[in-house]
Amino acid sequence: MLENKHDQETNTLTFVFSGHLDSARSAPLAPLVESEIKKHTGQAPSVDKPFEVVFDLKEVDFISSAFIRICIMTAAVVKSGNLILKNACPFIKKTIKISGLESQLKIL
Amino acid sequence: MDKTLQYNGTESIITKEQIQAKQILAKATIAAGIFNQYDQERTDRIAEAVARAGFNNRVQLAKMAREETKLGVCEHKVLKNVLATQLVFENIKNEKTVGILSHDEKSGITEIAQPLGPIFAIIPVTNPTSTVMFKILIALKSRNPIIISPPRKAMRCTIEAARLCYQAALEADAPEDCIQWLPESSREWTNAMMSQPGIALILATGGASMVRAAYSSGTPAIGVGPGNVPIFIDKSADLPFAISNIILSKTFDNGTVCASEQAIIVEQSFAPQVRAEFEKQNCYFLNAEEIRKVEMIAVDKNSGVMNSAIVGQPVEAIAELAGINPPAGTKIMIADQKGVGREYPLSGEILAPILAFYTCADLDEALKTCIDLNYFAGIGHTAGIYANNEDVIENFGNLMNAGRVLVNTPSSQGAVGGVFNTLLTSFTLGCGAGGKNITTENISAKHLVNIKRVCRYRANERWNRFQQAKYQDEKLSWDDILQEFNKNY
Repeated sequence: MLENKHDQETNTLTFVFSGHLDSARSAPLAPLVESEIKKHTGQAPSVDKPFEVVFDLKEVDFISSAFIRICIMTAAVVKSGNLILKNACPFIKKTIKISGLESQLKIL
Repeated sequence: MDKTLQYNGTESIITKEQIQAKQILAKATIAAGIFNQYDQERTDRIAEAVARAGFNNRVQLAKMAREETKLGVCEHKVLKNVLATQLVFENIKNEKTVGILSHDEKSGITEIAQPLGPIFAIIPVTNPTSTVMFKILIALKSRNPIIISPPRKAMRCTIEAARLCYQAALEADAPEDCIQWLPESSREWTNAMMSQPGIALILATGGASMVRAAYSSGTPAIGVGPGNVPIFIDKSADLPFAISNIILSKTFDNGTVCASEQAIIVEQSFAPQVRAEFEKQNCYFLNAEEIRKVEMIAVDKNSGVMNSAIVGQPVEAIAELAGINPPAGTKIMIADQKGVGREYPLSGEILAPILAFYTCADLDEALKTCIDLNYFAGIGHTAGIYANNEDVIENFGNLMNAGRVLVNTPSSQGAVGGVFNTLLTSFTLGCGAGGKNITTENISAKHLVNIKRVCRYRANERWNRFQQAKYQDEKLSWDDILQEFNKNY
């Protein structure tokens, strides 16, 4: 349901989510995401690039409010605009638009 | 300016506009009182007389509008006047708007119509005579007096249309002052009128700032702001049909209808065919340098607002302004775009024969681009799709936030209704909550009537026989209660 990797060259931490991210499935992901981000924000960057977090939603077909909370929490930690949601299906893109989160993150 | 003493002892300034607005409203309020006594037959006679007068003057008014505004195409303005009179009347002529609308013996509910009261109608420069006749017609059909705010650049034609309607209404025995108009067009006048507490409703059609002002006035308002209509052409579309429809619509009155197409979205694998068909039907894809020049004259980069100098102008005039030379006979200029937002000036609403064009990797990307365009500047308004695949149509319909999702239909004429579909013919297109409206419907006479419900005693049998003391027993769950509540029912 969650994989992650850090690309040192671009200073980007990518989380690849999958499945139906309802409340029950999203809730346990929050501490995992938080601790991974902490690991990287606690370190001096290896390159002169702002730290970015990417949530890859290619395999996700539903997001719950618990997942939105993960987005908000992450957006608060990384600098403005450095949380990127990519590969969201149109339905999830619309959900993000309606949720009014676009000012806190980028959705590609 | 006069000064007046407020209750709190401070002095405030009352402008001449406010004084006169109050006088206009006083007359409209008397008209509302008299109108309230009219029965359906008398009301219908007035509506028909107004529709006839507008219709019989359709050509003259169109000429006046074209001459005065220098926008659009005279023949198309004639058609707009026809829609606003003949087709609108066709919609409303048999509608009950007076007295008892319905009575249901079983439910015991009787619905009774009640007029709203004086309506303040703001008229856009892009469709002046048609919009004013439309608003007058639906207001009088619902027994509401109407006060018109003509646009500054279309004063004469708007007032002439209102005058002709008023004359016809009076001849049909309408109350005096049931149609009035402001003597000047200015923000001061509009604000003075909008803030009068006796105005029942503002019908605001026009620019975003004016619509915002209407909402901020404290008076109930139905406002229609900008549209930013994305048109998705699916691979299943009948392409020649789709392109000819788009041209028919986007060139109608030189693109002045707010529901006209703004952007074309296609999948990469289908883009070459779409481009070829547009070119075959005399549309022109601008090169990068031409796009930059058109952007400069089409939109004010700082405010993001379209330049009024290009609104309703033909391709030749816009090309001249931009300093470019599209082929002679070009019907629409098309600009490839890479993104949506303020940094892409042609991704917003442009009421002229210019289209943005998006080539997307696949269906999902195309749909996401449509969502971006829809949410960027046209939320709640209109979207369109050309497809013969029901799944794609259904998916598109679910994803768009638009009062009207038009399928295989020219969007200008399709959104206005009555020609290519059975939507109510209207020059005020509800945009739902996204557009700060209470409805997504095409506005008509039925929206200008308050419905009272006279409710007769009809006991709820299950409620009365149920031992209501059981509600006080915390141990009884939803299922326990419902089992008992519905027993033998």
